[in-house]
Amino acid sequence: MLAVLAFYGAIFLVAYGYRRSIEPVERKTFVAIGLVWAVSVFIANYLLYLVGAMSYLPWVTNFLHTFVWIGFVLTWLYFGVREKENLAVQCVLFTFFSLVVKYWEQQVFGTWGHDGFFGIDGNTAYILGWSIADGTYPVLTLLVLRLAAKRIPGLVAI
Amino acid sequence: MTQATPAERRLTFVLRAFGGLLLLAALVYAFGPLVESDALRELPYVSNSVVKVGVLGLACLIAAGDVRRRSDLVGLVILAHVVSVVAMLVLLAFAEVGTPVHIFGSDVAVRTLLWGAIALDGGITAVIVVFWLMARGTRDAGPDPAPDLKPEERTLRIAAYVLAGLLLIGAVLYELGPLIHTTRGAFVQLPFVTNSVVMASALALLALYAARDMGRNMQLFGLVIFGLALSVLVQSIYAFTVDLHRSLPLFGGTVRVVALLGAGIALDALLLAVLIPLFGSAWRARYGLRYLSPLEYRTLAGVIEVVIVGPDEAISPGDVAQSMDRYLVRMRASRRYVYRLALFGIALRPLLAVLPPLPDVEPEQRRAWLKSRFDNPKLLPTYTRGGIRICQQMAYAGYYNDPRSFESVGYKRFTQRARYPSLNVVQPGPHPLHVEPPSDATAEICIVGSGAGGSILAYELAKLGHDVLVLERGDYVEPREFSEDELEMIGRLYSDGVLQQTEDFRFTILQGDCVGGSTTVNNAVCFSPPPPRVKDWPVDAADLNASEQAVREFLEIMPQLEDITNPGDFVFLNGVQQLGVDIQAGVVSANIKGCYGSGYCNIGCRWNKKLSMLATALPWAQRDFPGRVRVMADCEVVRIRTLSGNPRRVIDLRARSHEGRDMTITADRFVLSAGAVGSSMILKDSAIDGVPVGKHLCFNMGAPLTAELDQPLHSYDGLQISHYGLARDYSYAYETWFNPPMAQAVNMPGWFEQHYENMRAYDRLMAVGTIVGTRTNAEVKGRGLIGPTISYTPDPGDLKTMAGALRQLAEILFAGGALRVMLNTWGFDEFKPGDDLSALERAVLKPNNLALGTGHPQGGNAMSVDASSGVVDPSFRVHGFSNLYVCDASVFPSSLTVNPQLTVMTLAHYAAPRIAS
Repeated sequence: MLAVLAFYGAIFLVAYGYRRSIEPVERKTFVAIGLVWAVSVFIANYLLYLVGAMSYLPWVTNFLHTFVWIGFVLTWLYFGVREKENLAVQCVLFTFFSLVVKYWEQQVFGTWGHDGFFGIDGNTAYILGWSIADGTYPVLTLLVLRLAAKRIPGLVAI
Repeated sequence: MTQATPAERRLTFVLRAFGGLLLLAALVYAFGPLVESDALRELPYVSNSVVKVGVLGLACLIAAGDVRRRSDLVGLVILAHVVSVVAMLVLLAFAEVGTPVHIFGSDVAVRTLLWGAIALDGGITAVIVVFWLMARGTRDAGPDPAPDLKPEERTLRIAAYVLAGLLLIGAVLYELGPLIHTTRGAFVQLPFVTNSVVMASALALLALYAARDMGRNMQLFGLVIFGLALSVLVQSIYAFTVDLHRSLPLFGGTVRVVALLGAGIALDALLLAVLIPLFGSAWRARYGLRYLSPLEYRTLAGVIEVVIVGPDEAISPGDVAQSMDRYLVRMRASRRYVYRLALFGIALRPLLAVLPPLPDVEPEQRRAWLKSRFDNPKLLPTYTRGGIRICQQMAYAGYYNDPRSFESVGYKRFTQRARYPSLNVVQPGPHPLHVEPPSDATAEICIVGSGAGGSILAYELAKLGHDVLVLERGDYVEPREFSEDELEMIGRLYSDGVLQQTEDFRFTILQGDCVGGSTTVNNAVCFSPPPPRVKDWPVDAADLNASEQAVREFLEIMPQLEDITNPGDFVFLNGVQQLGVDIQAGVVSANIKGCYGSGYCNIGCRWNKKLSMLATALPWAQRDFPGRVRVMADCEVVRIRTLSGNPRRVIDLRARSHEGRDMTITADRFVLSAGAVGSSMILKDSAIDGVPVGKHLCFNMGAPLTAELDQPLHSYDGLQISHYGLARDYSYAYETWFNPPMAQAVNMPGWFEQHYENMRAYDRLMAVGTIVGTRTNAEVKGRGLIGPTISYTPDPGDLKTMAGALRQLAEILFAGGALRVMLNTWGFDEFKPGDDLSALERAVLKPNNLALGTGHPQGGNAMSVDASSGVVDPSFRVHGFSNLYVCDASVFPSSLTVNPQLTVMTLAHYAAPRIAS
């Protein structure tokens, strides 16, 4: 577990390079985005396992992956890049980091072992497919945040 | 240059035919493996075949571009084919040629294939040789003098010799491979192996030929580089189609195809990595290039050579192209690459017509090609025409900006004119405006934009006791830095160096991009807000009127004196009187005081006679309200950050300097005064929704009519815009307008010889712009790949108004004594007294025929009490926001027809207490 956390930490340093702090005015937005992603992906991972689209992620692994990795590190990265890089570059960055994290988790925990991604055979397709799905994080966040900002006060949408 | 002889024309035809066929063969070789045939998947020999036929095909086309001067290149093509025949004969004699090859569904013996290829190459050789010998008999052109080589060119020559040696060794090894017992297993598909021999030989011959006389033939070394680059590309494509894990026997062991392919790509890439910088630096050294690539430079020089055509050309095409290169490198436009794109596209466009790249086409044919594609482009018409137009305008700009061309057009710069010494002109000293470099900043009120709206607003808000920070995207150019060089000043003072255009490249939108905004480069013409146009605006008419009077006093706006007005304008005034046209007409009022009549309004008034915001409101604000007004230049706002809620609130602005430094600007209130396009783009980039940002954009659409008289007018020697005519219902306006030669050349009707002749008449010309306030059917759509995307198609009703106004103007100018008038159309439409002017109206109404532009974009963030139909409310606040305002021409709910600067200033004055409260 420490090895995985250390890996998250290493990638967090990249995100930290983009952005050193979350300003007070943005903290509500940061927490909202992080929590929404973490909770929804945590649940989705289990439901997708139940329908056979994903391999089983043990609860602790699932928690680490969704709350620490996606909810905190990826959200920090998002705040770092959302004003600096165009959307296409953001998507590539998120896909890349998701890919390396999944491989690392596979090496350490033996997870992400499913053989296929929605009809495309092979473990490579599975890991790559979900990494590309994670690459949509910036697009989905941008759209959902803009919608949410129309109704919820105190959010910083761009 | 004498005309091509029949023999030369026949050789040209033959070379173009073979060139086309060889390029077609290259495509088959390149993409064959993607569809079929095991035989086409043998590497690297098939990819070498692509390079061989590709390079020889291009060599044929380049030779065809000027067979008289490139006779030696034809000889090289012949020699390459002879090498091919000999290589195949050697293989037939000594190699194992009995094995079958599976190709396109059937088995064919290698021997049969080789004999077929020998027949083909032999036939090609024989045909070219015959026509070449016939054409050589008529050869009469002496070679161009060889320039002295620069050190960089000498280095390239050494590299070319070394490369030629390596390639010749490669050719020998390719030929020996199939003959040696221990290697023949790796040399599969012998026909392609011989192509590899020819590929290496042809590249070696080209390199040797270029090296032997680098002064004349350096461009041919580009063909060698092209061949190597093509090799990398094709091998990379093949990597997806072949069985990379297959092994071939070699020296008693095996070598895997993946290793062979990797080594081939790596070797070619390494050569390219060495040769491209050497090639580039050799060209840069020869011509002193700093921005354009060699191909782009040669294309520009090639265009200049054929579009500026006349008996007494004052400057060589190379000089003009170099001057444009120097201008482009200094230009601070984010879209300046459009120039490069246009040159690159036009350089390669002739390939689609089986012609060599444009600079390699013989001048007469180059001119004919440009003319035909400009008049009637069949393929990609918008981009072809647009590209040619940009190239032509670069040619005109470079040529007519050069002082050596002035005598031929009868122009004198202000400081050279006879009356200059008697004016006792006082040269400006340091400008009394403190401008900060870009950095993070905090203010009470932040104003984005330092033009007519932003500066008056800054002054008035400071007067009301507020601390103001004015951000300007452009540079701070002090008046003492203004020069008489039009190109230099346009590059420094205009938005995108006059490259801001609608998405179809048909409508140019001029905008100042410097401290002072458009007021630094406009003509300072002032009209009151036209009552019929503003009567429905949601503003207090009495307050607005009071604000106008205050601004008029502040800037000393007054009718200009007759002694500095444009000397050609009597034609217009006489015409109006003679015809008794029912329009208002007279001398313009302007915020200009003590004008010298230099005619430099549009490139910045060095002597501060134009009371622009740079000369007045900004320095005066710092003088009158010390410490309350800060100005920051080179600070482009890229995004407004907002906090959701009801109302929403702006947290801060994110800004960026030209060098990429990011900044954050915080304030209590933010006002956008960046102009109709600029303010709309900032709101669009910031995803400000719920209001129709960018919609209802409109313009004062302008088109000039140029008139020639029978006497010198010296129209350049006076106020650029000095007289006006205005329809009683404000549906159209006329403004006399004349420019120094560069700007006049870019706007001059006609192309090629016609343009040249028209410019020779420069001193007898005067021009009048016709302006129509358009409907609000344009839109700032957002940021596209190449900058702001502005969509606009002129409304038929507006075009009809324009056609009628231009017809009436032609009648006025004829009555005033004009010998002819010229419309600024894509073609050339000229009319003389007595001509049927309904043809003029038809020319205007012909789709996309009239060149249109504007310096007066308006709307985009219209003012409205209703958020569904406007962006700002009557207090200039953006609907739904607590601290975001817009105050510039973008809030106009409709166009004005007349120059909008006084209306913008009036609105800013009117807005100040409302924003302050």
